[in-house]
Amino acid sequence: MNEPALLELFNRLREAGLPLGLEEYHLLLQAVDGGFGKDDRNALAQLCSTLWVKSDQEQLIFQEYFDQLIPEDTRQNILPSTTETSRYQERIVDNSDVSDANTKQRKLVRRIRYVIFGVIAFLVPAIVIPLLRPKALPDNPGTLSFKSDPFFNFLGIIQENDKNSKIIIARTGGSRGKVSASIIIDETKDYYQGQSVEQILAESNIDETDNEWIKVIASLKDFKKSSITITFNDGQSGFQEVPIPILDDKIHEGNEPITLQLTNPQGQVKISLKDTAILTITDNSEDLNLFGWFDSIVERFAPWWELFLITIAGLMTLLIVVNMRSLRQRISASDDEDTQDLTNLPIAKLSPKVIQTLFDKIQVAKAIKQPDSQLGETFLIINNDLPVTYRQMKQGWRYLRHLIGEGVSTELDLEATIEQIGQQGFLLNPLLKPRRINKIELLLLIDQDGSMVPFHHFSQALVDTASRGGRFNQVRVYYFHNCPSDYLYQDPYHLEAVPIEDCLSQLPKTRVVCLIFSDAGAARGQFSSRRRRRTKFFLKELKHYVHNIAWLNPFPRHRWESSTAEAIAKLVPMFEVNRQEFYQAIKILRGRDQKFYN
Amino acid sequence: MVSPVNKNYPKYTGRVQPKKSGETYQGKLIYPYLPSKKLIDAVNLAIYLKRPLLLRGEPGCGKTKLAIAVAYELGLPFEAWYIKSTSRAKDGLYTYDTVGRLRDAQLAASGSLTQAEKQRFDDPTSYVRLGPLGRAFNNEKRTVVLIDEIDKADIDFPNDLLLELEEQIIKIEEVRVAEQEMEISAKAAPIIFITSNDEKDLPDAFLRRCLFHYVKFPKFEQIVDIVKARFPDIADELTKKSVSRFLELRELMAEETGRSTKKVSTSELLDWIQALKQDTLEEALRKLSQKPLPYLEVLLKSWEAHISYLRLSEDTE
Repeated sequence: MNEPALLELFNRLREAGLPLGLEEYHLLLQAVDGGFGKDDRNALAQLCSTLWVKSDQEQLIFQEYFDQLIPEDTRQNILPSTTETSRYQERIVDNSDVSDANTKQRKLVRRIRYVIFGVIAFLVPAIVIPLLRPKALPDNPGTLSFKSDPFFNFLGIIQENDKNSKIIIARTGGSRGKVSASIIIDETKDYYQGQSVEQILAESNIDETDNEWIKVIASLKDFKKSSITITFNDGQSGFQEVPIPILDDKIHEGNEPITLQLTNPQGQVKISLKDTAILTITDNSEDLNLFGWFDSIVERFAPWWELFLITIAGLMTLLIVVNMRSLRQRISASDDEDTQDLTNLPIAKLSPKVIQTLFDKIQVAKAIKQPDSQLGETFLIINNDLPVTYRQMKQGWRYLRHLIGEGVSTELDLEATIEQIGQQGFLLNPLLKPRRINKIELLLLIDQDGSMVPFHHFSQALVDTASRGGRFNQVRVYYFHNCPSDYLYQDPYHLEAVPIEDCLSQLPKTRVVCLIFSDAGAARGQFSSRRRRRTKFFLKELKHYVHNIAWLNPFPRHRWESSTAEAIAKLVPMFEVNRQEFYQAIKILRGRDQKFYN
Repeated sequence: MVSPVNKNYPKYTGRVQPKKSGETYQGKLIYPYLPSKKLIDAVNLAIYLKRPLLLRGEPGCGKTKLAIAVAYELGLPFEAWYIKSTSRAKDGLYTYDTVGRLRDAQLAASGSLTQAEKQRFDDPTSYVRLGPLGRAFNNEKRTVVLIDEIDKADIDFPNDLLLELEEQIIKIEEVRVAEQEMEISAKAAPIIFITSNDEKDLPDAFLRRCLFHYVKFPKFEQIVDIVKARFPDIADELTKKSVSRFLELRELMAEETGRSTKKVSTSELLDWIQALKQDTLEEALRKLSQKPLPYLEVLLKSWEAHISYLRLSEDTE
């Protein structure tokens, strides 16, 4: 079992809901061993479809996956005379390595490759940059700069009450001579209560000469000094910490950016072009420091920003390049598919309708696979993910039976015959009994149009499975809009109207069950007493004829609240559309658990 | 259970045809059968893997006829099991003559059984009557079994056959041999063909065990070949003309009524040509070029089809 492409195809088909077991895969291997499907790709497709495909719909799914997964054979790869399975398998493997980029294994490999590239891209600058720095010429007085983030000139964040807050000044490019420079602290943009002072002045009509205001402005001062001198000794290079004296105060100032400027160089030292930097002082008077954690992270990792950004940029470029390449390959591959139809299989072109059904079926299979994905908030079913699959519906219907002997007596009633012999002491004639058949008739009432438009697909599936897959004596389907009043319709387009009384009086007296499929006003989400009254009236009438009634609501239970649906759910057992609840509804129709409702 | 396969399985080629028309094989009329390449492959695969082959397709496209054609070419015994709506799975395997046994018990008690009859009475297996599938299992040679129109039966029917098809063992409940149910296991795996008209969906568990082939409606050339094989003495001109008129009609019906209704099929074409052949060649050709077509009652089977055909043929004139 080392043909990844075929195995992948098999798994995909299983996922798509085809009834396949491992045994069916072994059958394929056996058949290949017996010389089937070896001539070319078509023969292989035909073999697989004979073994695995059981209906037209499945044929479409199969064709789709086969074209995607099984590589096109090139001329030299066709080995018509091989008799060993292993060589055949090798061929599959070889081809899939070259051109099959869709399988999961490929994706994994690609992801690992990305990670490796990323690690390399990260390590190279991390090693190279520190190596470059000490290689400065010792004869140079060097350059002074803020050690800050290169793109934002951002020095970090300090707390206002931090007693020994520091900034770091770097001397790079040389270490000759004793040099010094001053740092001027520009605090002109004062902040008061989280807003800049200028803004406050502009917005409110505060007199700038007001005494109170001047006091406030004075109290906003944050620094003990407005300029600091920094000195590097001869031979000293690298980083030096400079303490920043901050005044702690109790006034709510908000976060305040401070501009620092390096000026006045002494001793031939140069000042870096980026001679200004911004320092943010966070206000500890403020209780709600929502972004404190973020600030502290930024502060801690500020030195790594540079490397990090380079790495990210490198990775992005790599990803883009790789994706572009694979995209180009895929486009050219699909072009090939369009121009030459190599498959020559029954269905070459898919009509839109078929594609629609195909989509449904795959979606359905996905819906089974992830059981925890809940029926969504509102119209999730628009995607046609049936929350109950065709198969589950059919299985559900099959529980709904009530076997009763009816018709001409054709079967031998062995027990009764022997009993009769015992009584008469002689076999006069065998006793016969009628055959047991399912006498249940299903009445399906379906709400059509309006809020039910997204669920037409589901209601159609209900009708189909009940009439084809079920074993009912008879299935009657009627349609209505919102709630049944006066008339029911025999067709989904509301053309052939039948008075409700006629519908109901035609029903046999017993063994009829009724399933109603409607949102009961849950889509609108409001309470309509008119709708409730009408539905109640109809249900009352219906209960004269039908004993077991259940209601399927395509909306999830929590959406019924305070809508008409909630009121109606008190009149008749109502269920959501999912597997368990559908089976619950069937149970109700069988006449179980009726005690809660009347 | 995948039983070991034999590389020397009989191969079906589809080339061996009955020599003269009206030839019978095991009491059944047999006609030439021209399968497509894909169908031949599917048949051989089914024979090789010992799995039943499920055939689906439009009515009248030759699903049923395949089985006997295979049996004829391979020279194998043939068993047909035509399913009715009342058929049950057990009927195809065996029936147990309970009433007969009761009667014999009574006769034995009154001492009116002959010695031979008494021996028969002592052997409980003598009241077992094997059905078509049972006979196939019991046959020393591989037997071709046709299970025709399986979808006509109850939906539980296919599921009831699962064990027999998979394990190839029939258990007879009524007869106990050494405290166990009597078993008949297949001596040679039968070649089983199952046809379905899509009236009901078949259960997945059953589908899983079958191979599947969709018998498609043949193309023009194939139809001409089929007609020639069936009526070797027919004039070429008549064949081509009738087949092309027939295909026109088929297309017309497909356009008019959509996919839902029944389309004219190969078997109806053959009946139609049979009807045309009673006229002289000139007369038949003249009738074919007329509108409406002759012998429409052979082709159109519903009032709606008839009406819409007449309306359309008037429109096109």
